Amino acid sequence: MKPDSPFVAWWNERLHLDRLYQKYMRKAFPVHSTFFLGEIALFAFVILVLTGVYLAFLYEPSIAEVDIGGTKLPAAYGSVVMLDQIPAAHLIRQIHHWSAHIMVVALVLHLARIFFTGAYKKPRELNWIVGLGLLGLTIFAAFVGYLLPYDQFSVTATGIGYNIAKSVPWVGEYLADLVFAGKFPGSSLIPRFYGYHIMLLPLALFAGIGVHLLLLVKQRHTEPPAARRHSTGGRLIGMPLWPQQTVMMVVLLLVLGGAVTLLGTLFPVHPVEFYGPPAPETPTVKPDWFLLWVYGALRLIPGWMEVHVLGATIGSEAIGGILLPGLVGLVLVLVPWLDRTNRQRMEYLEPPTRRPVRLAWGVALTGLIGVFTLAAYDQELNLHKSWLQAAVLVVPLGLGGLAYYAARRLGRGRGVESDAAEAHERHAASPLIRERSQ
Amino acid sequence: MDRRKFATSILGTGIVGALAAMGSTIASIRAVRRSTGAAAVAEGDKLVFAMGPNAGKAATRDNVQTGDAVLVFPQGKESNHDNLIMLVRLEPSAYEAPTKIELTAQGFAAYSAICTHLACTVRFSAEPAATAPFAHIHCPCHAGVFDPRHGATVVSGPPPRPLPQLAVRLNDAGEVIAGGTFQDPIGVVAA
Repeated sequence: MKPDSPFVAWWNERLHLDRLYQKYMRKAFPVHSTFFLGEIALFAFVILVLTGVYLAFLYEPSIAEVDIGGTKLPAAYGSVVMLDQIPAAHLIRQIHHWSAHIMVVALVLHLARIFFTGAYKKPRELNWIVGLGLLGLTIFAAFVGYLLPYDQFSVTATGIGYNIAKSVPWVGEYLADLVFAGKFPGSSLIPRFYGYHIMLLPLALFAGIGVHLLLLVKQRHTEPPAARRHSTGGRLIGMPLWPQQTVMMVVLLLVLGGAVTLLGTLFPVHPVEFYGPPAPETPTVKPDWFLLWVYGALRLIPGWMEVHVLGATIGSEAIGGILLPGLVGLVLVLVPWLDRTNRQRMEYLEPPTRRPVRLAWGVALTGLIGVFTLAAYDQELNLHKSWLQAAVLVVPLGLGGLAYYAARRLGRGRGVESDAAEAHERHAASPLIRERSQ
Repeated sequence: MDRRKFATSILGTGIVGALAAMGSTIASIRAVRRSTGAAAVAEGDKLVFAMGPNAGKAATRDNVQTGDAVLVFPQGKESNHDNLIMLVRLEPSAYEAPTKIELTAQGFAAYSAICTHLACTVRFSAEPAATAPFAHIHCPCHAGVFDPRHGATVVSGPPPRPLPQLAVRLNDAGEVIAGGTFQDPIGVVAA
């Protein structure tokens, strides 16, 4: 479309689109394959919202008994069984479920990329915390959504969540009551979780994503280290938002949409009819993959392990279910302050091997989570518990040490060079960078 | 006090008040309709099968074999999940302390079926396992193992306490009847 066409002029006279274009549409997006992880998570969220709106029209948030083909079933379960008999609705439920998995995968990989390249450093500490909050909200949304079909698996999983909440020191009973709307599983539970899942959490995610992106635009992207060589004094090198980056984003959205449709068609997940409605017996059930490490930790921590503080007893269930994930979360939040290397303003990513200590900690934490995840399959893999308990200590230490050693060997030559380049840049170009990015 | 300070203090008071109001509003969402479920198991309740082909029928000397165990509910109190009971039948001589022998009857011992770790329903396994070379009770959630011969004490895994024991007796028809209430708390105890 020609810039001086009457159509463009009409819009421009009213909304001053050319100013918007000059200010934001020329924003540069540095190019690197790992820079798409956050976008994948964002597009998965878009697909989740669209499919979720559709599903909300067919779902019945109640556990009142309804008659379906002669059997009395809770309405929530019954409505999902009925929904699954409509081919389009079944496919959309599958796409919704798969997109949730993909959103969490993308977020975890995005987090790992940010961590291992040091992108959380000054001035982006705030966005690191916002991002962690988004990951927490996403996991909470996934956990809450798991209950909604109200089959035997989902009720068991949510029941464990209820009892973990109950084991919180001092306030457990009250907290569990507040979050799960009374004693589990009460008749208020499904309407409450439905409210969390379709209103509270999506709104919080929308707001959080908004802040995350605003901070990103304000503080600009970090650049891959290679861009340093082409630097023209603080100017960001990359694709402009319009049209190149937009085209890539649309392609990514379409590819993702195709991928989740294909996954939902070929690999159906959460077959509610196979799981059946809630029953007195507990099925052998494992949580979703991203909570397997907490589940494995709960299996490994022996019953005699408990801590007494200020009149409260922190038992094995609270250690595995609250203390451990809480500590991991706290350490992640504090990462920008725990990392004492290069406190200057950072514009270029650090190759992972440049910071052997950070690499070692990251690999050790990944190893720890890996061992706990493995412990979730101790019976299937015939792993002895005492072996796994030893592995909890040995594997992170071993992997961390190995990563440190490898990074020292690999990073020796390059590290010195880029340190020198960094120092040079600080002296020569940093006033320019500050000027342009503030 | 100048006008700016006055305005700031009013604003501060307003924010604190708004936060307090929000707090009390959130505290009020605990539950609109509080479902308590049926009353707890009590003396004289008939124990009936919770599931399977015999669901709803009384557990008796004839339909529970020695060396086996079944999940039972006190009749008419099925809606309270905490009432779920693992009714074990072993040789009367198999039980040793800390099992309260006086609470068993003709080889029947009743334990809460709610795991003390995170409140999943426990299972009975007549087959020995690596962690328990005898007929045992185990939890499918986080692999807690209990020994029914010794008061359902924890043999391995994360549960912090043994399964509470319930007194049982048999009536003239050979049906198992609850002989009291649980003396210990069921499931997870808030710290």
